[in-house]
Amino acid sequence: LAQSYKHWNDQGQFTNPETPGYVGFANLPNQVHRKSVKKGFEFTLMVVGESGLGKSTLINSLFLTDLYPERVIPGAAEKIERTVQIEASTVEIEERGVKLRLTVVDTPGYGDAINSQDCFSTIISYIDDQFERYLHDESGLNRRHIVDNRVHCCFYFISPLGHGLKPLDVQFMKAIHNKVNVVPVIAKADTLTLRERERLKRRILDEIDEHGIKIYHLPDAESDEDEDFKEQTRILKASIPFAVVGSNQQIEAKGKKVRGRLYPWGVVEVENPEHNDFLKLRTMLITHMQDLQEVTQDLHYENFRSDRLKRGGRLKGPEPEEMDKDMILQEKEAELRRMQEMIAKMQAQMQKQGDGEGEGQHV
Amino acid sequence: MANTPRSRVNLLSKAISGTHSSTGGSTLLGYIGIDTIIEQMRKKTMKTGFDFNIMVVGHSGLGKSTLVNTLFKSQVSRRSAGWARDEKIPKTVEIKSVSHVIEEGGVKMKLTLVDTPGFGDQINNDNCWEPISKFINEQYEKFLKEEVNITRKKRIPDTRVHCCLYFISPTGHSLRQLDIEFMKRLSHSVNIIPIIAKADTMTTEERQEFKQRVRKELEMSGIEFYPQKEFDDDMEDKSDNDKIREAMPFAVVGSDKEYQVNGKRVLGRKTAWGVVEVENPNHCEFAQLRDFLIRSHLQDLKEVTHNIHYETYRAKRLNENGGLHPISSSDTQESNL
Repeated sequence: LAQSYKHWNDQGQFTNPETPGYVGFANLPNQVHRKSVKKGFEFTLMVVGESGLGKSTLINSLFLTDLYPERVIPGAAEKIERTVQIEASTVEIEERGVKLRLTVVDTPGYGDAINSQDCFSTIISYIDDQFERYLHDESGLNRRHIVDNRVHCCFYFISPLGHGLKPLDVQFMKAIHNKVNVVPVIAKADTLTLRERERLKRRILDEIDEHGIKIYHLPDAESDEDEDFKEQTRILKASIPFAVVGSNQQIEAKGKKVRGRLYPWGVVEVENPEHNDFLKLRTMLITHMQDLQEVTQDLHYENFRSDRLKRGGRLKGPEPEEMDKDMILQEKEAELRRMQEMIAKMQAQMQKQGDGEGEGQHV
Repeated sequence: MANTPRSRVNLLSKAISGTHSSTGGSTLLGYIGIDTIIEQMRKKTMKTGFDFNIMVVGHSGLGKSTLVNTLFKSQVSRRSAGWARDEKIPKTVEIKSVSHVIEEGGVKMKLTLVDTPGFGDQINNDNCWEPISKFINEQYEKFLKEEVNITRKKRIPDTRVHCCLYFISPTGHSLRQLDIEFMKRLSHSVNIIPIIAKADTMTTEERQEFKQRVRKELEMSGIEFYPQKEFDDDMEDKSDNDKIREAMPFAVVGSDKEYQVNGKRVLGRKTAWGVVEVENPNHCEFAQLRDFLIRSHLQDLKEVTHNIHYETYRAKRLNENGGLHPISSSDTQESNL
């Protein structure tokens, strides 16, 4: 290496604008970037909230795609027999060569029943199952194609009609805040005047504090970032929870076509920051996708993993639970038998030795 | 021909209107002055005033208090949009009554608003309609006790619920299970008027679709809301009420704040994209609800409550006890409401 430096210096000029001593590993982030772009990104977003809060419309608006093409909205009578379902839809979005494999996990039936006592056990099981599956794959022999289906972010939809959080909201968020990044969102924000919106946001933040709910916190901008980015981060942080409006319709307003909702008294523009926080939510999601994945990996997954390994038991693969329990039982019984045999052998040996000593040496 | 008290009053007024009616009476040979009875009734009513009891039911945040204040253009309910900092959702359904005397054009009305905080707000809302049902029956019981007394008061205080406004959440999808359960169970003991709350959440098309879906669900569940079809007497009533039933449930917006729009002061909600005018029929159906509830059917609500719902309760009660005798206080405590 020293020779090559000398070689450059002797030449007196060099074609690359590199200073002597430059190794070149500063190029590493670019290589990582290129590899990631080639590999593509995976992101799983879960949406939770009662029926009619505009969840599907918002997701379609966020990603400018229709994730629910054959949707049928059930009536109240049909809803009676339903429990909470988990429905995952995956869509591949590509923009400027960057591929995103987005999975949206929907939870229809949440909060619909008269008695919603048990409505989120299904959701929690789903989140845990994804962690379990990842743990099993990670500990397996062939780790080349681990698919990451872990939930990276959960948008929790709060009704704008109430005076703050409902008891169900509080209970649910407390049950999942240690398993997934929770981003509270005020739905259908065009129901609220500006003052009502501010009051509601403050009320929700107070209640989140009061109940010790841990929502996802945007990391502060690094000190070496430019002022614009820092300011943007400040604004985003100050606007949580985001009050959003979604729409898939184009309306004519002020001479141009905008995405919005047409009322007799005016047009609500989805992408107008004075009307609602849709753009902020989208910006936050896109610029922090990487961070959301990291926090899921470093915090929530690690918590799950250490809890799980402490508890013990075999790491579940994608096998049904009953068979697994039987197998564990069988193994334990086999182990027990082996240990009993060993004890019996040891006892026999001790017996022999005892006899041997008493009667002199055996041949 | 139906001979309910409603139709009897109509016949009477028609006969008095001066035309020589064909209901079998003899023709009048001169002016007597029977028609002045209407004026006498009116004067009496103005002197005594009248009671109206309205109950609001719906989960928290649907604008119930604001709507009642808007309907009666006064601060009937102190719980309006300014939430108290320490206002918590009660753990069970509470029944809170507050009365005000309001006056208009020399007519005094004692308006009682019965609020039901806590309804539908819990995680487990099983049977949350029971305290409400119990309250309604208790008022019937109170009235019955007074009626059956040997020495009766000149004017029995009427605390019976004349009208129950049921607030439907504007999800845009369909009714919720709780909505159907409540209305099914209570539509036979009280006049239920379902309304779609906070209608400024929906565009005009969304509102129409939602209304249609809700009406179909109400029909499928056999819920008879006020004005009930079975109590329509004559064709005139029926056609008026048919029109109203077609337009129900009314999608309303309430507000107690005024804003300047096109040079006029209007009640409304001001947003960054426009002002929602409460009394503008293009914006919402508040004006229709108000006209229906107050300007045309206020008396009818009271009559149906007294002649039908109360009578049903009374018949059931008297059949239980086996006969008309003054009910002592010990009996009412044992009776299972």
